[in-house]
Amino acid sequence: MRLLRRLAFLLRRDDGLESELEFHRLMKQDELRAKGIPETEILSAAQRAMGNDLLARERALDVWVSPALRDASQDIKYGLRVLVKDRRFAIVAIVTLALGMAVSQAVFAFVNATVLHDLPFEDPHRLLTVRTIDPRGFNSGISWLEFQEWRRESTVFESLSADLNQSVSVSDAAHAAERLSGAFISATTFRTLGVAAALGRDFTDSDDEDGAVAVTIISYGLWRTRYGGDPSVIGRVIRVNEQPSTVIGVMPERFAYPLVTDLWMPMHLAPNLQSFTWTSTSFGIAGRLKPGAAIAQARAEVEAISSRLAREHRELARDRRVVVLPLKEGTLAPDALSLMMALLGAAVVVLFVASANVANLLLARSWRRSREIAVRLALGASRWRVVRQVLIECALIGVAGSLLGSYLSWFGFNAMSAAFNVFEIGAPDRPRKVYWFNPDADGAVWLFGGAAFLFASLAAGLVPALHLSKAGTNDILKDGRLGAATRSSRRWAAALMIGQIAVAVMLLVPGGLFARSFFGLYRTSPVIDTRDLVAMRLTLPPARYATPGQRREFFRLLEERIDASGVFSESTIASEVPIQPLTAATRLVAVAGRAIEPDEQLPRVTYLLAGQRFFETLRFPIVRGRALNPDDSASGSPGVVINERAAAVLFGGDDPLGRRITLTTGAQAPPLVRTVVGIAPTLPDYLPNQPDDMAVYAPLPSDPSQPRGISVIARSTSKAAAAAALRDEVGTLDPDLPVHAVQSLDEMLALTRSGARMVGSWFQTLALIAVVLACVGLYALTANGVGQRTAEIGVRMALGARAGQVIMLFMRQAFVLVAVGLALGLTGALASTRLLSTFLSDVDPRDPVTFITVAVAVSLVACAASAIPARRAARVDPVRAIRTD
Amino acid sequence: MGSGPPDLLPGTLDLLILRALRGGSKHGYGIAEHLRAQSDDVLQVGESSLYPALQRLLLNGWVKGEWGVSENNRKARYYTLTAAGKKRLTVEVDEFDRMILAIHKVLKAAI
Repeated sequence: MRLLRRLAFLLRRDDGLESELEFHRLMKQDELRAKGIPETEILSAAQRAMGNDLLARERALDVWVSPALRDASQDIKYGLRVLVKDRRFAIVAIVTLALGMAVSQAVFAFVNATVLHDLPFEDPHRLLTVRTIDPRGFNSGISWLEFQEWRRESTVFESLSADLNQSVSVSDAAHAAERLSGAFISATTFRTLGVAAALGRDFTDSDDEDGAVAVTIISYGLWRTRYGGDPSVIGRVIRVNEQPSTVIGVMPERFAYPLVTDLWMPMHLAPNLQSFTWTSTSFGIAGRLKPGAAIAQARAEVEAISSRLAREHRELARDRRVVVLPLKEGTLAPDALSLMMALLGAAVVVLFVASANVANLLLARSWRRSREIAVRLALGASRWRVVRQVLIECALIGVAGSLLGSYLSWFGFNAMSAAFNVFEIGAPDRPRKVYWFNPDADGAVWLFGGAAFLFASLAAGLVPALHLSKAGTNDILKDGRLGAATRSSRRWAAALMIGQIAVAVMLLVPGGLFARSFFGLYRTSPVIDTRDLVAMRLTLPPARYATPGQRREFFRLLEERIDASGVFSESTIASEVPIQPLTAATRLVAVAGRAIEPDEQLPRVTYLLAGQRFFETLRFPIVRGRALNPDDSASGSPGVVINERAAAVLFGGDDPLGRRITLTTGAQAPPLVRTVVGIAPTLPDYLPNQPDDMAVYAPLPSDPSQPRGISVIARSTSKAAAAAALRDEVGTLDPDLPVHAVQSLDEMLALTRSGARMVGSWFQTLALIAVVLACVGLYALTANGVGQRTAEIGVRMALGARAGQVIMLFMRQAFVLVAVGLALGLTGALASTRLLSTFLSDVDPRDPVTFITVAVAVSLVACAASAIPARRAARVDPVRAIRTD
Repeated sequence: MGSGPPDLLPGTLDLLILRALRGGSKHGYGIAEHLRAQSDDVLQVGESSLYPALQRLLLNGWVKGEWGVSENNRKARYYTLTAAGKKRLTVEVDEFDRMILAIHKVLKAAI
């Protein structure tokens, strides 16, 4: 009840006390008048009789609102007035804090969305995945054959499922053919993940038996866009890769697995499933541990099985590693987790630096305010009240900075999230996020934001507040400035400054390394002239192009048709675009005739099948020998071009021209024997941390198995025009063959570098902010010194010191701080950049150019920041400076 | 300047106000006058004690305040005893009697 009444009182606009007291006064005047006091004296007499009515009102208000609370609101009003008056200071402080808040919150939200969120599956902690790390350090999936062994032998998994990503073409009576991302999955996959269909049913084991009726489950998104959300889609027969297939289910909204997938088919429908070898490691794995089983058991079991398999099957690389990971971790690149934690650490440090700078700014300001504070202390303000005033001003800066920072962090978060965009083959302009990236802000994000705010405000306010609380009133009044505690506070400020410079350097170095790596990729001669080259993909449906002969015939007709039409000035076909090293087929290679040890591990080459005008169209130079010609495919051991790297590895110093090599897939298939007719330059490594790839370029018709997909590469200034032209030509050969994955080679190049560019830009942004903050810090620190020593400067100048000497007086301190900070920062950077080597290509993590550039740049910027207040010191008018009182 | 009663026992002012209001609603000035007149000018309650005390009583719900028009046509807040206030008054009077009795005993014993 009391609380309710208190609230009602607070909500009332007018407490009535004023008019009540006014009434009292009037009554008093009446009373005095009745006593015969002359009218002229009535007012003052009534005043005397009443006493202090302001006090009466205050004390009456105190009953309702505790005095401390009212003081606080007064302090806030006062603080706001002070900040508005000292606008420049307020803006610098708020922006400084906002930068720190924005960075830390954006990075935290990002790490939260990527790493801290649980997977959107049932009991996600029991879900594991298995990956293969090949001798080159590449992380890939598992082969179908190996998966089957595990499923048969393992005992710790409740269920173990495999999935194979593949784009498929979908058509039905009502809609045109569309190329969509599909996945062939074990029937148990959705049960393993613990996700049920939203509509219709899940796969059953009998759906995945040979000879079963073809069935499909579609994604919620596809159901809405292509089928208008019509529930009667269940049971409808559509055509997947030109084969009829019955839609049996729709998955829930936002469900996506293994990547962004639009439709799922049982594994047995995967084209040529039985011809996948031990080395086709393109299958993803999801396993659910039995309740109570530990990941260590799964590791031991998988290791035992895989090392037995490695003994039994020669083609399995001996030094590959099979790793069992929580499903969540398996989604991230191996070093991404540590990198993200490093980023989060850096962001928190930036927040700390920002708060420390605000502390320094406040400290610098307290010199200017020392008179005001001394007067307040002398007039009887309690020390706590003065400290509280400073803390409240900090909190105000904190609130404003946090609000601004949270707003800015939203942009930062969105920019960072772009790293997890998945561009679909069909719609490259409509990026989707991978399923394990959950951008929803949850409690953790708010909690972090709140904690960051509290930390920043307290860290910024505590130092100046403590400083003030220790200062002696007498000293302040005597000197007119805060004298005590300066030594310790100066030492603290200097340490802070050194730390800041070190942090800025530690962030700048990786930022610079990324920039160098990125520009390095552009600088290295691209070998291929990618200007105006457009790549387009055709995928032959297995049903109509079942045999290699049929496919070879189609490729021959295609090449002929394009050449005859003359729509492209230059064009070629090829099994892959050569700048996409990961998708290319590979073969184990050996020099023909050399005896191979039973245990020998053969090197792996990229095996690219080239059309007739391949080298010509790409302007791919031949270093020695000649390019491929049509006769090369005809002869008994067809001619091939190898790259310089392969020549060096296989033949050492010998001349490879005319020599013969063998290529095998590793299975029992007989090796292909090929004659080297030319040597091409090695393409630069488009992916970071990848050794130069060995490559063999063979004439397309010579390949006995013939690929299922073909890229058409043509020189054209417009992607759309090129695609339209190709569509017309292909239409005359096969009207049901969609042209997809239309992309310029420059775009492909940009995409292969986007990871490094993304991570690089995070570091560069952080580094830039750290530098700005360090400058603010140095400025504040020097300004601090100048403010403190104005009188001393005056004396020095009066005694004949020149402006340069005065400037040096203050710059000397900055030099020392910068030097120490630089030394610490460079040492730290040297120790930590190794972490980044996975993301850097073409540049040594200890690259001296980057280190020196950073050191010089930081020194220059830092000195400039401290020079501004130092120069102000030199302009001090000695007469006024000495007479500060 | 007569701004407070001569050292009242703590809480006594609240009791006196409640007692003053038993005869009917009064405004602040009226209460002060009432107390002065009833005590033969001994208890001169100043505003800075009276009004905070009234707020305290309002907060506790023992009196309620309503705006009305005074005898000479001025707007004034009239305080009325609530049911809870009446109950409180009897409790406080009893309490006060016991206290005075106790003090008397002590003083007599001292003599």
